[in-house]
Amino acid sequence: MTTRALQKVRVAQIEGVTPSVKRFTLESAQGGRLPSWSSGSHIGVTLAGTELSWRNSYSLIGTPGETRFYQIAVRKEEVSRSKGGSRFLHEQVQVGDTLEISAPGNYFPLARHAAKHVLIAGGIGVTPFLAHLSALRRSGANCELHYAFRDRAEGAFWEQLCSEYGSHTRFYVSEEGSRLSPAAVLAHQPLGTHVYVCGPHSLISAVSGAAAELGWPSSHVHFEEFAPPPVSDSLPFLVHLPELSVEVKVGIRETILEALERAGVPIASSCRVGQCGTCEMHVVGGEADHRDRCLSEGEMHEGKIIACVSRCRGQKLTLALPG
Amino acid sequence: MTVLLESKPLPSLKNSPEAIHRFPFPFRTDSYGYSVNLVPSGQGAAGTYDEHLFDIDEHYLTEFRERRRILCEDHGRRYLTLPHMMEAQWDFLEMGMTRLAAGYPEHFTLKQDGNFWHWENRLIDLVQNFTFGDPATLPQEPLEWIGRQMQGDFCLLDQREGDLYLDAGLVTFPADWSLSFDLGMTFEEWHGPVPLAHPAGVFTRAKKFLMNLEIDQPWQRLNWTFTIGPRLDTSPEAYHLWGRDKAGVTADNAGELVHLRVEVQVLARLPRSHGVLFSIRTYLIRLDELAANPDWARRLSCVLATLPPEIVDYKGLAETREAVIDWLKQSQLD
Amino acid sequence: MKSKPVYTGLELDTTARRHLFLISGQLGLDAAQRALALSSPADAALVTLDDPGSRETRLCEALTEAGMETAFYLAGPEIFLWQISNRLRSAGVENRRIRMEIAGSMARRVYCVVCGTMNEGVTTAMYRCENCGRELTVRDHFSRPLEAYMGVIADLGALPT
Repeated sequence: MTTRALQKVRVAQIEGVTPSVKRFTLESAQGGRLPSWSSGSHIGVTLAGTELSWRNSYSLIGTPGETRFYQIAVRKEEVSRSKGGSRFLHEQVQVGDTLEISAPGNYFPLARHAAKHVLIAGGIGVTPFLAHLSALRRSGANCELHYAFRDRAEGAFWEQLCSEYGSHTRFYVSEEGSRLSPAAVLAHQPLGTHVYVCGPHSLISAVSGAAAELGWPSSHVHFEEFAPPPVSDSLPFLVHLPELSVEVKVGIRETILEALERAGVPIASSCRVGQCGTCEMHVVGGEADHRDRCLSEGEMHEGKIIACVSRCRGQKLTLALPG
Repeated sequence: MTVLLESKPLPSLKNSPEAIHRFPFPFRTDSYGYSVNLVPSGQGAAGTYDEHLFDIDEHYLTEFRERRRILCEDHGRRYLTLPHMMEAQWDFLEMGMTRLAAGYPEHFTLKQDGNFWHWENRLIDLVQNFTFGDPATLPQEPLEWIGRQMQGDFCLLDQREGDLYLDAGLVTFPADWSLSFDLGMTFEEWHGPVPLAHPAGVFTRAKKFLMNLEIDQPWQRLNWTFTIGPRLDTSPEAYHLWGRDKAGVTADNAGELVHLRVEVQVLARLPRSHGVLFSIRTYLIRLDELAANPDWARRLSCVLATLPPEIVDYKGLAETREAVIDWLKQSQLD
Repeated sequence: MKSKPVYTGLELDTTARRHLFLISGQLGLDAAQRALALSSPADAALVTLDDPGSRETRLCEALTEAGMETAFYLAGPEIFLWQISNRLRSAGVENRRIRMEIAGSMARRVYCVVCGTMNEGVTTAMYRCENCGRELTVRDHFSRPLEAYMGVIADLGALPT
């Protein structure tokens, strides 16, 4: 999605955490340090299926800022639910293999001046909180972890969390009949609390909903979805600019911006990675496939599109120049 | 707080032919308008001003001494940091040192053994051993200590609450803005006085861009104004020392007095703190040095002639614009 | 001037469940009562913070009653608004939950950029710094952390020797 710096790493270690979760330790393939990182960061790991390659994101676990190695925890997903990235990592990757990763990115940072941090994890969504708790301990901040999982055998890292953070943790094991109630967790939290959720979409919805119901400002609710990343095996489509009588095919390896430039229509651009908004255009017909990090939901509904990264759901997109 | 006293004039910041050739001339077209104007940083060809993220040039010692003098006289207003920014300071120190050592191995050496670091800066005969992350092992805070050894002003922004806060800075050569006044402001608050940009949505977009900065992918943009005389410190705090100079500019002496001041601003993600580095590297070129390049002279004339009045006013060019245009016209005839 | 502070007015924040009005002065009280009359929220409280001596104590008490469901509404002199909102921010309240209306004195604190002194109670566009004596133009550039406007040298010709 974004063109982050890529580098090669060597798999230094693979450990079983639960029957379905493995921890991978990755070191720089050139030797030397990896980029430092803040808690909540994730890396993209390039995965190979039988014909395609794509990138999955995994949270960095362990001590934030560790540069000698990175560690990620991967749960093996069922065949029907994913393209097989996790199976690739579980079944094919071995110690000594080389993987390609992107530099860490963080869309889930801690709120620095929060009076209290409430962390809510569902299943493998616990991974970003391992680093967050390490950072919170170091700063002495007020925090608590609420971790829901199916059973003790499958709950990754719960024993480690219990022993390291003891009274700051509470576990909800559904097999044992204990359920996490977002409303109960959020009620009576002091002024200045921030809540962070990571896990299935249903959990994120439930917490967001409970927070809104209780009257929390949405800016105090942070979430990280482990949704599948946008598909990078892009399909070709047509772009039509009626006001210039231009119609051009956008190939699989080029962007709308590049196709238009190739057709002799220069669009103002700057960063060319979907972040600055300079190449914004207007969608007049067809459905946009937004891949930028710039437009708000409102702007997308208004019909804006960022030409250097976004594409089309379907076969044709009719665009107009802005202004 | 005390009032700054008269300072000795800087030894001339006269540029060698090489410095003139590599000067970051900011005008690519004949007219001017605010834009995002961002490009990836540190990707220039060998020898250019943007080959390295942090450029070292022939003015290194002049700037080093001038910064030292200003910090000696006015430390409390030129170096300011909020307590929560210490991690960002270490981020910046790491970035500065690794980039300088890689880009200029003839001047700098960095050896890292875990957290025990060894640093050599041969330009000022400095050797320092310290523990990365432990402020007690450096003579000053990390931002000040490494910032003094680099050319440019450095601002560290804290990213929180959906905004960017100017929460630390080493600023001795500002183009008429005050760190001591702006410390703690958000992105839009400290940009407040810039005309024309707000309605166009430039700042909302620019802020979003900065908040989405990725590790190891720095960006840069150029900013410009005029400075009268070879003066680096054009802060509001020192205005009573430099403000009068504009009145003395005429069509005859503009070539010698008026300097085009270009800022190369680098924007980079700070990895541990998730903050943003906003560095401002200032280059000065005298009008008569600039005019040796006829393309530059022509383009500058055109830009000045078409500059909107609000920008003329904001950049403080009202008193000098006519004299500069006249001087350039005259120089092109010669 | 974008950095001139923007005042949101006291319209109720419909995402909140409790509404706490913090006011100073008769005009502040009037503004708060007008806002309350317009919307009649179910759970609202009003705290007067007139006396600077007891202000911190009263504010602390009010904050112990407040929670994540609380939105804050400030009405009073301009300087009061920034003092209280900064205090709320340090307690972890974000901007979006603080609404403000100037009701009363617009006297400003002015930071003299020449000597660094704070001048209080400035009501004019030009002001002579009480410490260094420079004539200052009061710019509409406002620092929320300093709760002050920027004062820059007005006239170089009039500098004392």
